[in-house]
Amino acid sequence: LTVTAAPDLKGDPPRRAGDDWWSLQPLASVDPPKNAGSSDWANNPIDQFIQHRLESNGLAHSPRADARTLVRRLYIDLIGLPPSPETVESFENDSSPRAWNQLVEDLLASQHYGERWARHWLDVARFGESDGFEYNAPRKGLWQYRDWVIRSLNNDLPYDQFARMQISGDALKPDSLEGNAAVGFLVAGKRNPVIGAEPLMGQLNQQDALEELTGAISQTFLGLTTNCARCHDHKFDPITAEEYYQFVAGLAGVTHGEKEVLDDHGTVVPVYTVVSGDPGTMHVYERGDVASPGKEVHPGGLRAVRDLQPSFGLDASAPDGQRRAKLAEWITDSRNAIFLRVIVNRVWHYHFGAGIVDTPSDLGFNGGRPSHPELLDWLAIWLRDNGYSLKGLHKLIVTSAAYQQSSISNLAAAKIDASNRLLWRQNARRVEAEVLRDSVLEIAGELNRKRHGPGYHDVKMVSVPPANYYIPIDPIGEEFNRRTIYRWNVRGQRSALLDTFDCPDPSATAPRRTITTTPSQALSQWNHPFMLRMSEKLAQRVQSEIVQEIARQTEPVGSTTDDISTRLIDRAWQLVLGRNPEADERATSKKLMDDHGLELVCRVLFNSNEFVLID
Amino acid sequence: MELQDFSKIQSRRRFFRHCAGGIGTVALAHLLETEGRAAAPSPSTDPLVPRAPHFAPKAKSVIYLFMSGAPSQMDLIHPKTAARELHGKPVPESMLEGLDDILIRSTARIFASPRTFTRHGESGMWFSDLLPYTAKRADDICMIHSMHTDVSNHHPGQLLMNCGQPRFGLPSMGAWVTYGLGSESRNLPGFVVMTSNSGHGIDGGSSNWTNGFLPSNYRGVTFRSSDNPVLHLSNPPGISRESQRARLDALRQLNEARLATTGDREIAARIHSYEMAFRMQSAAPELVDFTGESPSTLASYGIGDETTRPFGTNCLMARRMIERGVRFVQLYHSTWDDHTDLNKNLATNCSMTDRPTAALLKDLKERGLLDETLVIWGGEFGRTPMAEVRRGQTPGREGRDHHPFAFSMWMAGGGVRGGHEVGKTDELGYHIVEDPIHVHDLQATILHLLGIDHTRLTYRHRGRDFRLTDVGGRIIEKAL
Repeated sequence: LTVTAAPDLKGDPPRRAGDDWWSLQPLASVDPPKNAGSSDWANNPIDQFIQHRLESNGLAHSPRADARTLVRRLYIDLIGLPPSPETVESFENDSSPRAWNQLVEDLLASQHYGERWARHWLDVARFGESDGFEYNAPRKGLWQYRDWVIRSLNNDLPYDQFARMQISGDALKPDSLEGNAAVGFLVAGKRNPVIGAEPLMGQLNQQDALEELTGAISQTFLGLTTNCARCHDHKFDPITAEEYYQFVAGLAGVTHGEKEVLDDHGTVVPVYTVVSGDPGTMHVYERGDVASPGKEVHPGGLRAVRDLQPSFGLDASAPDGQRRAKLAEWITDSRNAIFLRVIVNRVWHYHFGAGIVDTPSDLGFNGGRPSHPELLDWLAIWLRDNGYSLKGLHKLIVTSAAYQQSSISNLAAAKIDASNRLLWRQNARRVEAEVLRDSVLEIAGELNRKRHGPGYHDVKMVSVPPANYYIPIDPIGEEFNRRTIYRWNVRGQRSALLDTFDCPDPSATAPRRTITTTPSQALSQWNHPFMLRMSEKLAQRVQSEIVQEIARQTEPVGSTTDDISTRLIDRAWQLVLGRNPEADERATSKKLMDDHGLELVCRVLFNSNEFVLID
Repeated sequence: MELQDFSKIQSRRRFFRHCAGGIGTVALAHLLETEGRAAAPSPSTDPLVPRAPHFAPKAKSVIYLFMSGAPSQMDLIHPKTAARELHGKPVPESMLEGLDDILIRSTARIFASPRTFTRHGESGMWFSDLLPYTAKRADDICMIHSMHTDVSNHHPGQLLMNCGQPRFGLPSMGAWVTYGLGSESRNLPGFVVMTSNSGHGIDGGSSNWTNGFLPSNYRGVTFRSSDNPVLHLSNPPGISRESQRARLDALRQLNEARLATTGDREIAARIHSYEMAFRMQSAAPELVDFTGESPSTLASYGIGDETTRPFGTNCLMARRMIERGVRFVQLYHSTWDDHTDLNKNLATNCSMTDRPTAALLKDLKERGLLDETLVIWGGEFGRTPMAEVRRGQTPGREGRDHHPFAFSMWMAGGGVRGGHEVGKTDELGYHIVEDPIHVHDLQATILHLLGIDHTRLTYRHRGRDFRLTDVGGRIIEKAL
């Protein structure tokens, strides 16, 4: 099976993208197809598109997953924490569409929704609370950006505003915490403060920083690697070096700095943000060489983004804030098709484990091709016409029948479409490092739900001026039991648990995380002191719950130890996996408990595949 | 099975019971049976099972000494006496023509090496006084003076050298090799990475030993040279191996039931990773237990000496791993990135690495292992013939900048021609004048020595066949 690429691919495959590249075309308004098959399957138009592609490739959708799987999937997807056994039970008793909708509404309204989805966004935003490079100095107050992202997502800030604020919030809402925190996006990447003695080295360093920034903005919001056009016209996408420098001119006044602003309570707080500098005059640098300035250029966008005027009508005297405000307007213009395609694809990627385009930050020639181009455009139009509401988009996706499919494989379908690009089932996904740690804390009864503010430190900073090193430590205490998003996110080393579970180093953007399975991962999950501690806490929790349950009981307590063992084991299973063990599983667990104690049953459960896989 | 029936039985427990009887997952159940510890490993259950190469190999395994940060070739292994006459003068215009690299500063002055060079071995190979031990292995070494690369920044340079392209997401050489050949070791990973440093980490970090888009099992596993060579390898105090086994068996039972239910390959990989972890728990401590090594061996690697101990331990570990069937060992030493204080820093790094490197070659040879073990030494690019004076520092503290156009690396054992030199550069070592060898050529040659045709070791990803050497790669015939 070949999952068709751009609709107009005929004859010899092209060697590069031209102006007619699929992702640069205006959004195509396509009616959801009417399907021949079991039409009662479709919950919404998403399903009609999915079903159409399945049917035309001789595939069928999978049935709805069972209630327990569904509720677990939804919890982990939307808030990054597992459901309680009681929630699972209640949904098992009523898994009607109405109950499902209610669950979706509740989770989208939870504070944890913002904490979960901010983590995805921070991956893309290469959010790091230290400079990186040789000196790797820590940054004071960049956590304000992390909190702004969490709050904005929880408040369902329309996506176009969400984007505009991150590019030009300080200009749109000067002196506000909100505006200055939002542009943390621009100063979240690596920064090299080591500048050579020669003036050209200084300029080179500045151009390096601008390339990083251009890459971040362009890949995050436009899915284009504009940064590749620094030394020559883009080798694969229709972006010239001149346009690159035009884009750069819009950002040339951005410098890193700290400001003190008033928060909502009138307290002065430090925030790591953009300090506007003099953008100077921008040139096209021949072959990227700062010693060879060519033609002068003014702030502008990319010609490849059709229907928009690439020139911003600004000259060399335009100040930094104005330049960025214009750039943000241009990027978020409602006619900018690729801006919309990128975000709906990104959201889709996190719900299905793969995007409609499987390279969420590159919709250019080097990126993937869309598996469902019409659906992608339909979603983009839907978002634009529904107030850019990300919560609305989540709801649309998770209420589709496609999302609710079982993830169980079937060999016949796998023969036709092994990588499941056409979504004949939901993908079984492994939880991320953060979800693993947060879930363990939650289940052990140890999660500290404190929101916002400076992060907890699980690394020790060692300064050997001018350099700084960060050494992972394993601190114990309530303040360290916060959700992992509140971790002090410096560049460099991380705890082995996060590291072996592929938590990305913020040195580079991570639009799609690597997923590896290694013996080192098994060892840290099995033997990391945190895992041992939490297994012990869970055992204590289970014991105390069963003791209280027995104390409340009016009828005589079953006197046999077997009865109590069963209750302990069942409760541990319910808490970790959301289900009771089967007879053989119970017997295995009981033997383990008799020989080694309940704590070890808990540890085995925390290491089970069922726990680390979303389905 | 009809869809309706499928939905009826899809509750996971019932599904499991039904599946045990008949449909697709039977195949998977079978896989699990054959994965029993007593059973012979097969490719379908153990991704690291040894596989036949394309043709008879010269080398069975690789030890790659990656000198991260780019050591200065003209102060160690590539003398340029002509530089003495031009010392302090600008680079001749002719050498700068047509250059397209923004990192090379045309204003820099030529800097003659402060080191002295002498000839060694029957081959008369040149080494500077900083490498007295390696110099003694001259006749085992095939020196390549005409390496060139495409990039002159550390991270992209390291990625190109390891993964064939200067960007993220592609598998590293060790991953490609274990993917192609599997591993002879059942108790240790097929691809192991160890690091040592003189106070600075590796720019590329773990992206240098990534599996990229290849399955996770091929990722390089990092070992440390301590009593606890792998993080969290030890069981908590008071837990015996037997009770650990009991626990893992319980976990395995759980996971296998899960695999039968969902048929997911990720689960098979996870079961495998726990089994490997368990076997590593016994194999890894044995690996780092040097009590069986003779005092003279330990001394030759410099294990007793504070300065040489970190890299020496890694080198000895590398030999021990190769003996135990590990396919690809990569030792990173960082950093050789001497923009300032070149003379002093080179002395530091050489004092840490020279003796152990030579000991490794000698030890392998004495044990008859050098013929089947390819040893590679080198960085991600070279350094300039000109001095670099950063931030107005005083003379005597000069460094050298990055130089991608010509640099030196060496290989030994594993079928390469010892006591032989390949490639020539101009009088300053600025450009190659004979036998240019691109990074892809080196990679193609390494694979060739392992019995792999680099054009046929491919993996389909995102609609095209990828390979380590991208679209390049010619075997360095003169080195064989």
